[in-house]
Amino acid sequence: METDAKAGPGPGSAAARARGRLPTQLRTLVCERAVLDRADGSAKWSAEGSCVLAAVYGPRQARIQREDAERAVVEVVYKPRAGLQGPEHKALEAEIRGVLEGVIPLGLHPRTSIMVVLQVIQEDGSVLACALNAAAAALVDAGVPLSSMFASVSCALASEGGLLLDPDAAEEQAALARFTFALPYHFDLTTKGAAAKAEAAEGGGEAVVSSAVLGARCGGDFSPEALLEALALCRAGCGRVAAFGRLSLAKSLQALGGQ
Amino acid sequence: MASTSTTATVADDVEAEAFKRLYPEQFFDRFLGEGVRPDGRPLGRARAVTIGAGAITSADGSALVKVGRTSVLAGVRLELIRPDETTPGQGQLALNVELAPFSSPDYRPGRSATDAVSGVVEKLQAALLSGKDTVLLNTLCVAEGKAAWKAQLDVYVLDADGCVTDAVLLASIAALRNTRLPLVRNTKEGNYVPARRAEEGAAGLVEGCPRSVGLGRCPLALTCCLYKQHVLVDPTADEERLAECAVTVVVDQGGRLQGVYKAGGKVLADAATLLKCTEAARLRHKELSGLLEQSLQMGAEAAAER
Repeated sequence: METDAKAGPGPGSAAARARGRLPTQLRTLVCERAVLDRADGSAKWSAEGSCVLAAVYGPRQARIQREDAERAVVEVVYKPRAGLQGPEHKALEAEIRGVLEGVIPLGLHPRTSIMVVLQVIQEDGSVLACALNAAAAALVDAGVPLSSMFASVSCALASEGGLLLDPDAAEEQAALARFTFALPYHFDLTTKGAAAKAEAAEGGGEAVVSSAVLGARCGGDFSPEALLEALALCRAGCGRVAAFGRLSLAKSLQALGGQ
Repeated sequence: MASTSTTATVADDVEAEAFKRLYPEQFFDRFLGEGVRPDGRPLGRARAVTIGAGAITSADGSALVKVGRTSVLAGVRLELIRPDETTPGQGQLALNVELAPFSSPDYRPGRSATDAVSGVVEKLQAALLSGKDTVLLNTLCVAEGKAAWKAQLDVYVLDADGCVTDAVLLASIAALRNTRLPLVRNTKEGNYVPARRAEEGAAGLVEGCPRSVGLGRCPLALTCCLYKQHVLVDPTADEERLAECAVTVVVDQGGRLQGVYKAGGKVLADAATLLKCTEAARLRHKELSGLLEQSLQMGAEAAAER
């Protein structure tokens, strides 16, 4: 199941990227759902060189120390591809937990815990975005209620000044600044005509990506203007990730129905 | 008569405290409705800051920073090392942040204590070391390939009342700026050792050895909480806990951004909010850099007197 997200117009230099990718082009996305037997939900999200496996357990009885009488607690475990967890991985865990807490209606499941385990399988740039998308797909697979869907995309400010969407490790390394945004999205099925509805049912349709940020992680050396440009570019990218996520979900449901 | 009025105020205080505990959101909303915060600040005002550069005389550089009630102590310890073979012209900077057990009521001993500050460590690392030009490691080199300074920067969070990252970064910058590198002597055996004060001007001193840690930029952070439609600048721990959504912006002296972090949360930040946060961070940087210079000067004068 693959979709090749084609580039639209946007900022960025015409510098040659690996495999002739355009500055605003995402890498090929692949999403497999229900890959683990014992987890309540799981998904494997890969963007060519980067791949993250996510497993969701819960909502289930929380450990006594963690239990909250009024809401569910979200626990995130981020396992790096190799080696032990360092402070940067712990910081990523906190970041991902924050994003998930923003979309899971925690009040629905008091005294429970929702655990999300993320295992990085391959690492080639934009890993945080990949992990967030994997977590979102796994939560859907586990049937955890979500107040909104979200998608995440990275981009990098190249030293020549252009923005590159979904950078690989070499591009991230050479970049002046790196941005990752998580944005909520939904599909508007109400206002469109019957034709659009039918198209949406087949997994097409345009995602409505919020212009407001759920999670952001930007570092390097950049101006506020670059931040806004990066946000706009990532927003466009998130739209394509959202469309892919929907298509992949529709296909996997069809496959289930066919059995 | 006097006694009855005292009991009345005590009862009022107890009631306010109980109300705050039972209905924190309503308690908070009542203040925000009036455009103030529980500690009397308007929404956009950051807390008062004191910077004490050179607070520890036994350290090579130090600073005690208070942002409101948040207190952070940073100290630098120097050590002469042989530089790493891959970077013969550079010294080293090691960072360590620790949370004191009495710093916060949420403190839990063991691994979770180090986890709690991992985000702070990571942001500090990114601000000081990820760019090539913040801490200039080549200014820590004494003799290329032979001797360089290793600076061990230890930061202790004594009281964590919100915005720990901002205070930690400010204290780190102040401590690094406060650090004086001693002169270095080359002994007859060819070893490099720090020269004691009495030996200044003696034979064997290494020519042109660095006297201070070079900082190409001066990154400082400001955290803003997003709570409903409000942006609360420089929140306290209570406000942070209630809002569950914070944006941390790191800016340098030229107004360039070095980091923007928003770790999820219930409130979304649109472009206008992000710009508001960066603008607040720039203003705060101007305010803090003035205080920093003043404090460093006082610290240098105090050191000269000793």
